Amino acid sequence: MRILLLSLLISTLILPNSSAREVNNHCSCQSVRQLSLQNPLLKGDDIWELQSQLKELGFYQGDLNSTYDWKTYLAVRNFQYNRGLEETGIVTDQTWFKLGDELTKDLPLKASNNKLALPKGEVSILVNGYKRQMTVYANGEAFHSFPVAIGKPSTKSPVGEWAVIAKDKDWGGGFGVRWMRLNVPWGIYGIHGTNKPGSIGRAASHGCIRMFNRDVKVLFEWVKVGTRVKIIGTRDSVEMKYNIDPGRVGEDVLILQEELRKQGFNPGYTDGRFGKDSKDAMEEFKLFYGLKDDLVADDNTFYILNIK
Amino acid sequence: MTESSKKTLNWKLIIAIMLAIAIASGGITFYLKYQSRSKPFTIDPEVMINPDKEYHVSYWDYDLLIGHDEDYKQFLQESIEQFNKKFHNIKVTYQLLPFSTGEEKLRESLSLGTPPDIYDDIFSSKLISKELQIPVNLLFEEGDRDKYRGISALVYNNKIWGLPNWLIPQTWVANQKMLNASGVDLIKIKSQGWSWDEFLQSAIKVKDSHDDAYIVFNPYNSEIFYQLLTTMEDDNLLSADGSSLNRQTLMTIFIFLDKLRKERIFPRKINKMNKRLIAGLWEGDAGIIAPINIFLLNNLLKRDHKERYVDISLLPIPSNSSNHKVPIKVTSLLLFRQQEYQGDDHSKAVYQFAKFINQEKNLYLAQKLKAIPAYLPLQRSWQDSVKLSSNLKKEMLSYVDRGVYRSITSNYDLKEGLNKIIDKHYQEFWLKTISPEQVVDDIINENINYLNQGKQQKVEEN
Repeated sequence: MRILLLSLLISTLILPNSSAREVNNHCSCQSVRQLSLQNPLLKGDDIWELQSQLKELGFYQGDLNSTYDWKTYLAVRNFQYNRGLEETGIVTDQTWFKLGDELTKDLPLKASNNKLALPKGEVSILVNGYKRQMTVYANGEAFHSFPVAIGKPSTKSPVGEWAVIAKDKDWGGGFGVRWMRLNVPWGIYGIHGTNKPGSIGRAASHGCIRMFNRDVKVLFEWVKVGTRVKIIGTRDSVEMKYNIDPGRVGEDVLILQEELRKQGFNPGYTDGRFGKDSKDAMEEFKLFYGLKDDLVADDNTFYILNIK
Repeated sequence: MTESSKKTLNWKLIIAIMLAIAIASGGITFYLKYQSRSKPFTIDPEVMINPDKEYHVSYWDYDLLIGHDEDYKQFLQESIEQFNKKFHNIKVTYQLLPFSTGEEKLRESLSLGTPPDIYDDIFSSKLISKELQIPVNLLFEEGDRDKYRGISALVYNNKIWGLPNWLIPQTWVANQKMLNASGVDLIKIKSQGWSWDEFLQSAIKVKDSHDDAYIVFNPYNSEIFYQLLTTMEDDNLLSADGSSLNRQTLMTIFIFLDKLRKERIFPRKINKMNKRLIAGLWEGDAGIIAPINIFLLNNLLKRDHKERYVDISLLPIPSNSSNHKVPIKVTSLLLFRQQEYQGDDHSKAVYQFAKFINQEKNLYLAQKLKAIPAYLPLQRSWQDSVKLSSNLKKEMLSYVDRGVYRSITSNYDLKEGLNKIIDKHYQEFWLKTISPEQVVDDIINENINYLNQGKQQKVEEN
C-alpha cells in the first residue's frame, strides 16, 4: 500500500503535463481595468501594452516593465494633455480609444463596414501572425482581409489548425462586441473585438486574435461553429521530452503532427490532439520505416522526424 | 394431321430446339472456359501495337519520395509526357498508394479481376497472382533478359514474374566508431563477410566496450529472420513438396538468436529494445542495429552528417554458409492483365511503358533512394552520380557483387499465410522469452492448422 501511495505521489510529481490545462470560461485576455498610479503599484500585461503604445507615440521613454510607475503616469498625463483629454493620469476606455486612433491613423488598417456581401461557399480563416492580418477564404479563394492583433512575445497566439467551437455576443469588457472560441486544447483562445483598438496590427494580446469591433461584427456573421481557423506565426520552442501516446493533447502533439505532415504523412488537422487521423499517420510512419511496434511517438520517432 | 396435333407438334419442336441451343451454348462456354484455364497464358510475338488505336495503361505506384510528393508527381507527369512523345497513342494514368494499404488494395482489385496494368512492387512480394500476373519473359525482346541483374529473384516455374527495378543489399547498420573502439575488424567483415559465430564474438566485444553498450534487434520486425534464412546453405523454409515446414531450418535460426540472447548482448529490457533502435544509435549506446529498410537507412544517412560521435557503417548480414553471400532484396514492376483480357497488343503497350519507366527513368529514383538500379546500363551512371560517400558506395556495390537473391518458393497466399505466422511467433520469441524448441513447435503447429483450414475451405468451395 505504501509503495502504491509513494509511486502515485512520484508519478504526480514527475509525469508530464502538457495536456490541456483545466480551463474556465474566460480566455486568457483580461477585461479592461482602470489604470492609475496607486500604492502598491499596479502591474500587468495591460500596463506593458500601455507603455509600448505610449512609447511608439513618443510619450514614454522608460523600460517596458509592466508597472504603472511614476514615469508611466507622467507619460499618460502628457498624452492626455496633448490630445485634448482630461489630464487625470487615469487610463479608461476613452484613453485606450484615443491611443488607438493615434496609432492606426497612419497605418493601412481600415475597419470594414458591415455592408460587405456574405462569402459564398465554405468559409475558412487564415490568421497570419507575421503580417498581423486575417484573411477570410470562401471555397478556398481569398475573400476579404482584416487587420488583427496577435499574442505578444510572452503570450504568443496558438499556431495551429483550429476550429470555431462557440460563438457569443455578450462578453463585453475588453473582449469587444463578439467572441468566437477556438478549440485550442491547452487554454481558452478565440477571436474577439477590443476596446484597445491601438493594439490592432500589433503583437499585443494574451494569445487571442483581436479585431476592430466593427470587423468582428462582420466576421461573426460569416463564421459558424466548425469554421476552420489556421494560425501561422512564431511560437516558443517545445522540447520533446516524453513519449506521446494516442489520445494525448498538447503542444508537443501539435509539433509531432506538423513534423509528420512535413515528412509526407497525414495526421489530419494540426490541432494538438492525438486522434484517429494522427494514429493512422503514425501507423503509416512506423510501417514505412520498418519499426512496426506501436502507435506511440517515442525517441525513435523524434530522431527520425529530426525533432530530437 | 389435325389442327390441334399440328399445334402440339410445333410446341414440342420449339422446346426441343430451345433445349438443344441451351445445351450447345452451355457446352461451348464450358469448353472455352476450360480451355482458357488449362492452357497457359501466352502472348503472340507477332502481334504489334496498333499505331491508330488508343491504349489506356494504368500504373499503381507508391509515393516513393514521401515528404516531396509534388516532386514525385511532377517526375511521373514529365516521364509520361516524355513517353508520349514516342508513343502518343498510349495514355498512362497513375495512382499513388498508401504504404499501409497499397498491397491490400492490389489484392482486392485482383479478386475483382480489375488490377492495374503495372504495379510497383516495392515490398518485393514478386508473385502475387499466377492467374492475372503476366510473366514478363513473354514480352521480352531479344537481349532484354541479359540487361538485368537480379532476374533469378523473380523466376518461378521457368517464368519471370516482374521487371527488376532496384537491388537493395540487406545490411545491418553499425556505429563504426564504436566497433573500431571495441576491436572489431570491420575491414575484414566488409570485404569477406562474417559467420554467425564471428558476429556473436564481435557483439560480445561491443557489449563489453562500455557499461551501456548493446546491440538492438527490433523484435517487432521479423526481417532479421528472413535475412538470416537467406544466408543459410539450405534456405528453404518449406519441405520439397511444400506441404510442411523445415524444422531443422527454423531451429537453426532460433537457436542462434537464443544464443545471442543468452550472451546478453541486447539491452537489459529485451522486450522493449525496439525503443532503443534509433535512439540507441544516435546516443552512442547501440553498436549495431537491425533490421533497417531502405527508407530508414536514407533517414539515418541524412542525419549522419550532423552527428559527431556516430559514423554509420553498413555491415553484411552474418552468414552460416561457407561463401558468406549477402542477401539482396529485389523490387520490381509487376505486369497484370484484367479478367476481360484487352489483347496482346494492349499487353505490349503496357510493356513499353513499364520498360520506359524501369530503364530510362529509374536512375532518378535510384539516386534519390540510394538503391542500385537492376538495369545494368544504369549502374555506371548511378555510381557516378549518387550522393553517397565513396566508402558506402563501394560497400554497396561489393555487396551486390556477392549477392544472393531469395527466389520465389511458393504461391503468394501460402507465403503470406506463413509470413503472418512467423511474424507473430518471432515477436513472441523476444517478448515472452520463449525457447527455440517452443517457438518452432508453435510455428509448425499453427502452420499445420493454417494449411488444414485451407484444405477444408477448398473442399467446401467444391
